[in-house]
Amino acid sequence: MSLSALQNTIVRLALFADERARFVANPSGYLAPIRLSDRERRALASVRGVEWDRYANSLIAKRADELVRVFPRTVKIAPSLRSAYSGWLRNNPPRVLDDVIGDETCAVTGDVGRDVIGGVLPPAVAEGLRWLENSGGVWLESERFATYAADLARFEAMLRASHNDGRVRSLKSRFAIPNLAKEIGEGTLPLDPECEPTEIRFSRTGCEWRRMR
Amino acid sequence: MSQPFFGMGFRRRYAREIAEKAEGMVLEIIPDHFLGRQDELRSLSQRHPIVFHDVGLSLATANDRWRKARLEWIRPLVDAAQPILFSDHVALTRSPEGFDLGHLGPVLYSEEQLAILIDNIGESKAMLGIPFVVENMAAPFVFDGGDMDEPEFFRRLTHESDSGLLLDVTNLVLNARNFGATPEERMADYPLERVWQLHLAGGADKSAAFWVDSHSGSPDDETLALLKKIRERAAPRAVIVERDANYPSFEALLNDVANARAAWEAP
Repeated sequence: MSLSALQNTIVRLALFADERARFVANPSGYLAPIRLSDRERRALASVRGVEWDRYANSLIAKRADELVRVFPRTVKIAPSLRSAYSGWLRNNPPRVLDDVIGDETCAVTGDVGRDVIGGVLPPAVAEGLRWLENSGGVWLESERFATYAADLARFEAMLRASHNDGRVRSLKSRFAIPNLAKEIGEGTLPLDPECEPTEIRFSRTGCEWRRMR
Repeated sequence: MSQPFFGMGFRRRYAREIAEKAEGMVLEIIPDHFLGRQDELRSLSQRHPIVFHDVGLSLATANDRWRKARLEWIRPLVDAAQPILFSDHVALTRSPEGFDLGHLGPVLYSEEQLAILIDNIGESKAMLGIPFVVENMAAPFVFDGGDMDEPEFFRRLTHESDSGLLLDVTNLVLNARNFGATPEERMADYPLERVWQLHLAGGADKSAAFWVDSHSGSPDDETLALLKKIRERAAPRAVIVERDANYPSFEALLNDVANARAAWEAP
């Protein structure tokens, strides 16, 4: 159906910076292989590049605002987290399936719940996990941040995720991340903590952890 | 003509004050906030009229594979709360191939799009079993070349899907500012006789010469002044003040609701 192609194109132009750049540079060339009616081609081309960019930036800003709320402590030791995520998102938008957890769930949109909502992940938490897995984890492991930054981010995202969907998750770290998270929450920024290999288990009720030998 | 209920969007941060100070006020519920909380929702519905507001049905999307599943998990919440209305937007939030916009996306006002929306609203109404209303969005841009303009699109959509219009007055004002015409001119062509619910918000930001709806302040005078004109042709069941950022005291929110009521009732 032509409408499906039109909608796929609208969403791609809004979400993929590289596709948007190709479209703005040569609208008819970009649209040529897509099965659209002449009217739909004209409709897409009637929107100026600056309008597409403004809309795309507003979508990124909204997601970034939500994402930083998943990592309140990590942001304190990696203040550029928001811009790093935004840059990555420009060509790596989420698929709806990324928000789907389990058999009886579906995509969820809405704000970032601080509360147990049972069975599914709020989109920002799902997005936080996706970013860590695909880009954020490596970025936080770079030398510019504290050595525990990536594990702290994993801790924050997994704690929220298990709290919401009830799935048990585990994390092994070289550091006593729950203690570090507590210190950061209280306003301290540990600079060079001792190595304390730790295993953390997350569930709906919170986390349990133990030091490993 | 009966008076509408006046109220606000339920946000958990205000739950205690709502219980203590807002008995009987209509509450607008986002279903995601109550997943697995049917008992709490049932309790709220015994003290308040309830309307549901969703942003996840992506009603405009053709060949959507996710809507039915979402409706299936929303249905128990509807059963628990017995809302008087269920609303979502005339918008895309995801594409048929499955990319998630994370927010509302605009549509081309074509006959084909109209038919898809009517089908999708019909499916939603059949699964939820309550009156359905569709909301106008703050448009990031407008496509040329539709078969009709937005007011005509909403007129046909609400009549042919037997649904109501959730008129977001603030979005209407912002669209007027951004795309020319006065709010009164834009409003004149809307099917106001189909307005079953109103949204009011404030705190719009103007950046890059474009107004954006931020839901971060009180409804402004221009928005409130339109209520008197809307009243001449519309009989909404609920008027909701929305607030999603820069959260004020609960008393300030109550004041916004009182101002909306006063503007509606002004002689």
